[in-house]
Amino acid sequence: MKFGPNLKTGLFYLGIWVALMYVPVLAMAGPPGLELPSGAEIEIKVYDVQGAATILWLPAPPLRLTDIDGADFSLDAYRGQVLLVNFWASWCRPCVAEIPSLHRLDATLKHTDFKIVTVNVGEDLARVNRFLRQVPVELPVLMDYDASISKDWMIYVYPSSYLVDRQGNYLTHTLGHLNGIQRKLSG
Amino acid sequence: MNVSVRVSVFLLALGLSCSLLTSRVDATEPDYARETRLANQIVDMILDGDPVWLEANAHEFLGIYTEADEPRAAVLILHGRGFHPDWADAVNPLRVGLVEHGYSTLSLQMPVLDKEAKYYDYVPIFDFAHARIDAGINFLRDAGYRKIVLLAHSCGVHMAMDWMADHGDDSIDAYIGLGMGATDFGQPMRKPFPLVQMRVAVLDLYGANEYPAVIRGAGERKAMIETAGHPRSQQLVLPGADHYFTDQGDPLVSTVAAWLERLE
Repeated sequence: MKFGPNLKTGLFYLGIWVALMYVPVLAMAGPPGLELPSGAEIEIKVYDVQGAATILWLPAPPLRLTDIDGADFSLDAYRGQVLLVNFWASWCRPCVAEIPSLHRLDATLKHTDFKIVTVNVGEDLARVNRFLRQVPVELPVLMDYDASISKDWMIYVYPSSYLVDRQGNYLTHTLGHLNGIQRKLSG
Repeated sequence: MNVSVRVSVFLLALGLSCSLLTSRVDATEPDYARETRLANQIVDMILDGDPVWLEANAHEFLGIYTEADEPRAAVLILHGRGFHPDWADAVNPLRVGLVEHGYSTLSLQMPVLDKEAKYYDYVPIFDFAHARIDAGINFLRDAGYRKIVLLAHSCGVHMAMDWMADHGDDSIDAYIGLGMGATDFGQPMRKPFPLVQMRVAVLDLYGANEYPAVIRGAGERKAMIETAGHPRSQQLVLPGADHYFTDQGDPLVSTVAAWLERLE
């Protein structure tokens, strides 16, 4: 079997996880920023909701980007909150079609510690701004100009979203529109 | 150049253009000789899977059956116009790659015509595709599969949708359409896709660099899929992919497999 770089990244994190779980010496020398809940076990979850995937409970890769106004964004600022990271592009019609769903989800859960950020993948700022004038997105829009972050996040099809837990771990990857996530969070 | 010569040249050019636009292959049945040639070319080259010979409309046709270890379901694959069941760009990656995810595959030789044949030339022979899809499903049922997913690409989509309009979707468990709605210039679709009537989950997957007709129709297809209302149906876009998913085998297989896993 041939592994692509994204899968290799995932297996690398899994390897670190296993090593930290079972080899205390390695755990003490673990990389900075990798936080493990005490007594955590490797957890493989299959969520029976629309669009949700089988996901290893792995630390999400860094998400250091700027938004459309040039302000810096880091995932670390959202520690302690549940974050939905939605990857999109203006040429992706199903992505555009789900923007109202994201707004509804945000409105429904706005008094909780649940937040949404969107990541535009691979487009320039002028194009995105033109698009936003036609289709306003009332959520943070981060710019992944060279699509490098989306590769780290293993995004290979659109729309795609990740749910990140309060410790900064992946919870769920969704393909396509987000009704299932909304159902899971609200139900 | 005098006026009469100019008019003659214009009329000649007009006539040539019209004949090119309206050129057609008047066929009432598949080009069986071409199918045989295609089969002879590929059978000895098959590395993964086994050739199987099925029968429809009193003619044998080739299928390639590739069995997964402890299969979760079977995927019946229909290729695009004029290709074959081991076509390199989309079909081979899927028929081999899905097996690694636990899905057996049966890739069928669909009816083909002359290389010059267009969408409208194929419409009259869609009935021949019906019998092949039925034969494929029967083969998989006989092999013990309870769950069967129909996956079609390009012209295979038109054939699958025509079969669906005629037969309904009772005999399959899900449907995957790749590059749905591609036709030739000046040849709008003869019949709308019966997506609204479908009760099984539908994956509508197309490339960001698709033919304009496929992209233009995406909104309408999504609306029809949502009207049908299956909660697991999705429309997805593969960045970097063209209509043929050229060099996109890995993300194509990953996407299809990930969607199939979500159905279980």
